[in-house]
Amino acid sequence: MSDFGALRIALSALYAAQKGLDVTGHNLANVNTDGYSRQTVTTVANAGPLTPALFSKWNDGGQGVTVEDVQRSRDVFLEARSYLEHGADSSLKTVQTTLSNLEQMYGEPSDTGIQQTLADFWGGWQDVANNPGDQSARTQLIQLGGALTTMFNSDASTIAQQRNDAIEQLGTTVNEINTMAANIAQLNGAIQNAQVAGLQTTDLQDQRDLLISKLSDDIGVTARPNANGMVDVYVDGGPLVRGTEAQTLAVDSSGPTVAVRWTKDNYPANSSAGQVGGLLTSINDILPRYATSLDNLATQLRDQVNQVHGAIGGTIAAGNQDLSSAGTLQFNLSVNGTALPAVSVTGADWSGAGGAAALQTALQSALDTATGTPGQVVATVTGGAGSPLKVSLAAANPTDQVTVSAVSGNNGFTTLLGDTLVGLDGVGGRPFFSGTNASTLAVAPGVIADPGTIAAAVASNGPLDGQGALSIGALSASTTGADSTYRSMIVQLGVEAQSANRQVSIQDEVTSQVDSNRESQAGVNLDEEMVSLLQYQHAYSAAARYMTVVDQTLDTLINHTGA
Amino acid sequence: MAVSDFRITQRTLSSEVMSNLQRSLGKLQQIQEQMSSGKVLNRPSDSPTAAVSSLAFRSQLTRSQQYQRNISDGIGWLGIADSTLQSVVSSMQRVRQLAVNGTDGAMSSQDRSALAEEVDQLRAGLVTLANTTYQNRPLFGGNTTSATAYDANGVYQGDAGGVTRTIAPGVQLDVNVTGGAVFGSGASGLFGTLQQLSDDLRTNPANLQGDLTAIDGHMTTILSALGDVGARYRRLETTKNSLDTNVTGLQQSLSEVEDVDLPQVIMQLQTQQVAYQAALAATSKVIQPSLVDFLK
Repeated sequence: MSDFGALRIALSALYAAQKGLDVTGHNLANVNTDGYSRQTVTTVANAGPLTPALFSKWNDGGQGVTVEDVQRSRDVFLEARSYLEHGADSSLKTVQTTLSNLEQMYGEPSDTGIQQTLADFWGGWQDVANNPGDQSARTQLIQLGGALTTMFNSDASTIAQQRNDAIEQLGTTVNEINTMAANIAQLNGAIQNAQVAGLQTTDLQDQRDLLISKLSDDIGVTARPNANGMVDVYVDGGPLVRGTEAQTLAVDSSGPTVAVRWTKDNYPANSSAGQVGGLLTSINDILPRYATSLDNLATQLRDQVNQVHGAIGGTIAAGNQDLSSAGTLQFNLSVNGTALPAVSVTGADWSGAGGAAALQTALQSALDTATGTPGQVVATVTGGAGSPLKVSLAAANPTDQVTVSAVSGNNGFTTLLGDTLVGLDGVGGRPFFSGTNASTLAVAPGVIADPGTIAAAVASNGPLDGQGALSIGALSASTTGADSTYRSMIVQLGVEAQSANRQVSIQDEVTSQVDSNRESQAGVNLDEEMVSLLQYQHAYSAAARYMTVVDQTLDTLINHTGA
Repeated sequence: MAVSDFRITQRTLSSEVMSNLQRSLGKLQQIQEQMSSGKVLNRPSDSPTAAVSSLAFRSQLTRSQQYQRNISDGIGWLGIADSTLQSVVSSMQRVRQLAVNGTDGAMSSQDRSALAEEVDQLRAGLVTLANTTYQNRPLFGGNTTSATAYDANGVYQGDAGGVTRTIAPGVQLDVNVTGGAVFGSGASGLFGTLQQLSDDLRTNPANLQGDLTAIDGHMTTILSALGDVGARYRRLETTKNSLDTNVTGLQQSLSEVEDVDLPQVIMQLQTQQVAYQAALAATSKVIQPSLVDFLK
């Protein structure tokens, strides 16, 4: 080695110490940067030639130091785990928000929820039963019914609105995903170029990994390393980013089931993780399910009340079935509001075997004569021959509305259809509720127009009777009624929300554990960096000192020898 | 440096402290919600089983309160019926006395006419009593739509319908007495008998003994109706008392399910506040001195 070789060793040591100081400074500067991984300098000693040439030998020692690499401290397994946990966490949180919004909407248990309004509604029927002739009790019942149906209407529209909002949010999230995927592909390209050119890529990689981490919050992703430091990102098994190429996703809300699809081939990308997964669960499962429950509850309530309120029928007691001396039995019939000729049945002896069939035939033919459309209104008679005869009328087409009332001066109505519930006007067969689902449920317009049409009385007891209203009021205690259906719906919501809350708190714990593991691996510790700083500072001073010594040696050699 | 050791960085510290602070504040908020709303049960997910009991208690409570209203209303009906029948009975006692006086052979026909006059007055008074109305309905008219239970001739205008109140689940009680059952109708009815008595006093004193028997018959019917009304009145009152107990019990159960245990929550709030303050104090220490502070 030449004398000046020592200067070169000193220089390489200065370079290495300088690099160490730079990297330490960089670490310190990024102590609070998101996604930053701490960097370390790897140095190697410059040895002599590894393969000495023939007939030559290397007597000298090492040639100083070279900075081989600057490395990121990062654990790829922890990264993959973190993507997984973050995806699960944000999916659960989205579901939790949806359920908690539903809970807030129903606002149970309270004095203002559907349960209380239902109870007040049933109470309203009893008040009508207490004072069947009192208009104010009837008007109050209509108000209570209106309050109840309004609740159903507004809850139904809130659920629909919530679903629309979620679809909109899904669209925004998917746009965000597309932008991030494009950025990741771009960074991949930059990293590839830099690596091929032998440049440092650690910070670019940090930026890219941070984007992937954010992506995993939006939609569940898996990342696999590609060549030249690039990373591929997969969603639901399909590549979102491959090398420098990014695919795009789109929301398909055309069908009843909303889906996220690949733009290139329209194939579904159904991730169950991330915000997208949570939103899809809300949009396609939770919200439709609760909307259907509410619809079912509304139709159940409607049918429960209407079946009692609008039933047309009667009972003829066992000892009372010989009506041969009663002459003609008559009652008025109208279909869909159109009054038809009175229905006339000639009284006969229906007490024996076959009496029920005979009465049914006679009644049916009388109905057919009145309607002019055979079979439009169907009569059913059962019992007889020693037990009561049960008569009932119903429209063959459920959308037809049949009403009946007494012909004045003829007792046919009370004889044949005495159990029919009638309003103050003596007409029975009208519905109390109208509408087909929770958003259209309403008190029937006819009832609102004339509170007297509320059928509180059983026809055979006269219009001031309250038995009809009592039987409807008694539905409140029914174990198969709307009340109990509503309660089980609320319990289901409660259990589901409670389980979502628990899952979120567990997942939060897991996610923060993984995050802190990752931080432990990649984070910057100030104490450590201070130690490195000292180390490199001393190394630099030592190298400088060495250079001074070499300089002095050369000075002695050049200026003070051989004079 | 050994990598296998769990490294703690400044960021780990601060993020951990932040998440602990969040958790502590969350608990504090939960307790404050319970304190301010007075309820431990603010949404179904707080406790689904308690929520369903609460809903069931509420609907039972509303039902029981409705029964209480029904009973008060029924007590009104029976109270009026009771006092009206009491008046009927005292009028009838006077009628009977007049009839007994009429059988006195020493009486002149003029004296009897005077008695007949008083009987007519009493009869008119009894028809008015029988036509007593309550809530714009004839008290003794059943479910009739007619304005009165009896016309001037003492013919019953009403029906045999019961005015029914639901007083307990599935229990219905008639709170009316129909005129047909108490006073009868037409010639054989009370008013027919009184007309007959008045006529007999004027024209046929020999028949007065028969009238007395008929009057006694009516008296028995009326008294038994009065007894029946009294019994039903008592039954309503008993039911009302047990309903009151029931309502109180339900309110208590509801409160047990829904309401906070105040001393306990206040204690929790205190503890949680202390915990939160401790967490805050810890946070201030996060800006720990690092080696930086000691190097020159």
